Amino acid sequence: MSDGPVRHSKGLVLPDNEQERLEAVYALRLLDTAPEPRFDRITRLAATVFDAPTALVSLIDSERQWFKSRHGFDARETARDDAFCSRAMLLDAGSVMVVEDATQDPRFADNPYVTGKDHVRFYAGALLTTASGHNVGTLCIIDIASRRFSKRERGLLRQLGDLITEQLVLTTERLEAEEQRRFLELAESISHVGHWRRTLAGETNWSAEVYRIFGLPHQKAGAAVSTDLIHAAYTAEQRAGLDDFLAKALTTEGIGEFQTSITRPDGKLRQLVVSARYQLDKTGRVEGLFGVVQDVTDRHRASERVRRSEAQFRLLADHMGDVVTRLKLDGSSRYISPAIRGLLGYTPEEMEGRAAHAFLHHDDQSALLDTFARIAGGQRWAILQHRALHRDGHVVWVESTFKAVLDSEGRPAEVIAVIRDVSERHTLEQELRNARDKAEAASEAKTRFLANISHEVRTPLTSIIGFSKLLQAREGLGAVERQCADRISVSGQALLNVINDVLDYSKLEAGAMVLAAQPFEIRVLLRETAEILHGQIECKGLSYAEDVGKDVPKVLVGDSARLRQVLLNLTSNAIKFTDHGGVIVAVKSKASADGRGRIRVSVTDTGTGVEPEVVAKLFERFVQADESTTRRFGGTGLGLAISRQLIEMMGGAIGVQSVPGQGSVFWFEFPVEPDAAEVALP
Amino acid sequence: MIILHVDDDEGIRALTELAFSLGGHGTVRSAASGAEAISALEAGLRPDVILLDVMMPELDGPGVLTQIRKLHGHFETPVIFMTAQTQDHELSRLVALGSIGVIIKPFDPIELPGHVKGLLGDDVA
Repeated sequence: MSDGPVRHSKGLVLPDNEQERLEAVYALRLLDTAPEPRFDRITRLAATVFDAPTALVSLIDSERQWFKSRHGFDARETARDDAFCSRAMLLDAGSVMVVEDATQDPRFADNPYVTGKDHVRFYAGALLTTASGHNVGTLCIIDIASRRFSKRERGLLRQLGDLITEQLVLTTERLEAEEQRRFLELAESISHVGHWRRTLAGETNWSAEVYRIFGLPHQKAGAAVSTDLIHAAYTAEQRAGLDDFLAKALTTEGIGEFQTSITRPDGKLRQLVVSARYQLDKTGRVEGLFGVVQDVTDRHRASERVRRSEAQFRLLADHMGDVVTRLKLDGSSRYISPAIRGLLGYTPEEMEGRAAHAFLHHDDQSALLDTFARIAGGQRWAILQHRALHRDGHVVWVESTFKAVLDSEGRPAEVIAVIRDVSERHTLEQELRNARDKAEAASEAKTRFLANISHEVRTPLTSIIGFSKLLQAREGLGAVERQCADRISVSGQALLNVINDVLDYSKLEAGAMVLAAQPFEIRVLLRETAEILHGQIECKGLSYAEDVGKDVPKVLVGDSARLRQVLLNLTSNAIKFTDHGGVIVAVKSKASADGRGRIRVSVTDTGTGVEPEVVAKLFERFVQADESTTRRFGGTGLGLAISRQLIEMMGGAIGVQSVPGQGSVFWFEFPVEPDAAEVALP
Repeated sequence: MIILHVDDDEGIRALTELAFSLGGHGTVRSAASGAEAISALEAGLRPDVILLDVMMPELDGPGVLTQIRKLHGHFETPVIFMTAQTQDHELSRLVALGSIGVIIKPFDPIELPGHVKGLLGDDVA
C-alpha cells in the first residue's frame, strides 16, 4: 500500500477505513429496499425548512450513491465518483459539508452535475454516522442557485441528520430482533420446544411452536391465548395438576417439570413436559411466569418400546430353565435370571455385580477369563463347558454359551451368557466312557485270554501231532498201530483247526485283522490247496478237477494266505459233504461295473446240497446245514462266517447256489488291482 | 550239525531231539530253561544253531537271546525262535529282535530239519 490516500478509479480519495465503512453500510440492510415514510417525512421537512428543490438521504457503497429517500430528484442512484456526498465520507463524524457556489469551488467546478443540465450550484450535507463511528451516507439538500448557508442553518441540517441516524439505528435493532425471533422459532420447531408467558392475571401468550404442539392455528404474535382453547386440551384432572404446578412455580424456584398429556382438536394424544420459572419486575416483585413446553411423544414412544422389549426379555429370561445373564466385559453381572437359584442355590440379588468367575471351580476360572478376553478382543461367541460351585459346595457341570453384544460402533459392549445345567449329560457321558473303557478292557482281556489258551493248547498239540507224524513215518508199523497213529494225527489236526478258527474269529470281531497286499500266483495257490486235501479226496474216492480261465492273470496282488484259508474251507467242506462224484474248482476273470477286474472262484460239488431256508443263514457263525452235522462231521461252525468276513474285508462277495440232493456251488469273488498283471513276483 | 534247543516243555524237547536224530540230521542238546542254556554255552558249547522257545517261565525267549548276545563268541550265533503265538505283530517283533527266523508250533517234525537248514542256508548265503 502507498503512504498517500487510497484513490478510487476516477481519482476519488477513499477513507482509510473504507472496507469497514462498506461493511457498516451493508449491515444496515437498507440498500435497494423500498422507500419508507419515516425517512421521506424527514427529507420533505428538510426541503421545506430550507426551501430547497431537492433533499436526499444517500448511502454510499463501493460503486454508487443510493437514495433511501428522494425529494425532488428522479434517479434512485448515481455513480459514486461524481457524487458530492462521496467527498463527505472523508469528514469527521457530526460534520456538515457545505458548497455555496459549485462553480467557484475547485472540487466541483467541472463536475457534470454542475456543468450539465442538472445545474447544481448549492449543496449542504449532514454526515450520517453509525454508533460504531462509520460514515455511511448523508442527509443533503441541493439547489440550482448558489446561496449562503448560515451557521444556524448548518445546525438545523445537522439536527435533521441526527433524526435520520436515529432511524438507521432503529432499523438495525429491529432487524436483529427479527432475526433472533426467527432463530428462536426455528430452534423451537426443531426441538419441539415452545415458550410461553403468563401474567399474574392469567393472561397467556404462546410462541408459534406451542400452537403447533397444541395443534391449533397460529394467532397473531402478542395476542393472548383464549382460556377456553387451553382448557379444551386437558381433562379436568390434568388441568388441576397443571394449575397446581403453575401456582407452585410462582413461589418456588427450580420447581422442575410437569409431565402431562393433552388431546389435540384432531383427537391425537400428545405427551408434554412443561417447565416454568417466575419472572420479577424492576422492583423485584413477581410479575408472572415464563416457561417452555416440549412435545416428548416420539421420545416417549421410543422409550415405551424399549421398556416393552426389556420387559419381554425379562419375561423370557425369568421363565427359562437355562440361566440367562448379562455380563460386563470385566465378568461382573448386570442381570441374572431367577433360574440361577435352581442351578447354584443363590438368588440373583446375591450374585448381581459380583465377578462370574467367583462362582466357578478353581480349575476352570482361567478358562472363563480367557473366554472373556477373547470376546473383549472381538470374538463374537464362545461355548465353554465348565464346573460351577453350588452354594452348598458341590460341583455343578454347566455349559455356558457366551455371545458378544456390540455397541453402535461395532465394539463389544457386554456379554449375554446362557448357562445350561449339563450335570446329567456329563454323568451320562462319564458313565458311557466308563462302560466303553470297561468293554475295551474286557475285550482286551478276552483277546489275551484267547492268546494264552491258544498257546497252552498248541504246546501239547505240538507233541500230539508231531509224535503221531513220526509214528506214521515209521516203516513196518502194524495195521492197528498205523490206524491208531492216523486217528491221533487227524484228531490233533482237527483240534488245531478249532483253535485257529476261534482265534481268527475273535480277531475279526475285534477289528484287529490286517490284510496283506503281496503279489501271488492263483494257480500255485490252487495246487497247494489240492496237495493239502489230497489225502481226504483219495480216502473218499472222489474226483477232483481244476479249471482256470486263460484270461486270469498269472500274478495277482492280495493276501494269499487268507485267500488260501477261504479256498481250503470251501473245498474241504465240499469234500466233507460229498460221498459220490467229485469236486471242481474253477477260476474266472470278470469285469465289474466299476471297471476293476474281479476274480471269481467257484467250488462245485455233487454232495448233499443245502436246504433253501438254511442257505440264508449259512454264513452266520455257529450255523451248519444241519445241527447233526456238527456231531457227524465236527467243525466249529465258524469257517464260513470267517470266510465271509475275510472276503468282505477284501471288497469281495461270497455265496452259494444249491439243489438239495444234487450238490452245491460255493463261490467267492475278490477285486484285483488293474496293474496286478505287471507286478513281478519277489 | 549241533543244535541247542531251549524249551520248558518236556514233550517238545523229546520231539525235537527225535526229529533230528531219526534222520541223522544232527545232535540236539536240550535245555529246559534259559539259565540252563546260558550255562551250557558258558561251559563251552558251540552250537551251529539255537532253537529258542518264546514263552518260558523266569526268563523268556527274547530275554535269553539278549543274554546269549552278551556271551563271548556268540554275538552272531544263529537263533531261531519257536513259538505257539500266531499273531502277526508278534512274529515281526521276534524277527526284529535279531533272529534268523521263526517256526510256528505245532511244527511237522519230519520237515523240521529241512526247515532249519533252509533258514541257516538263507542266512549264510
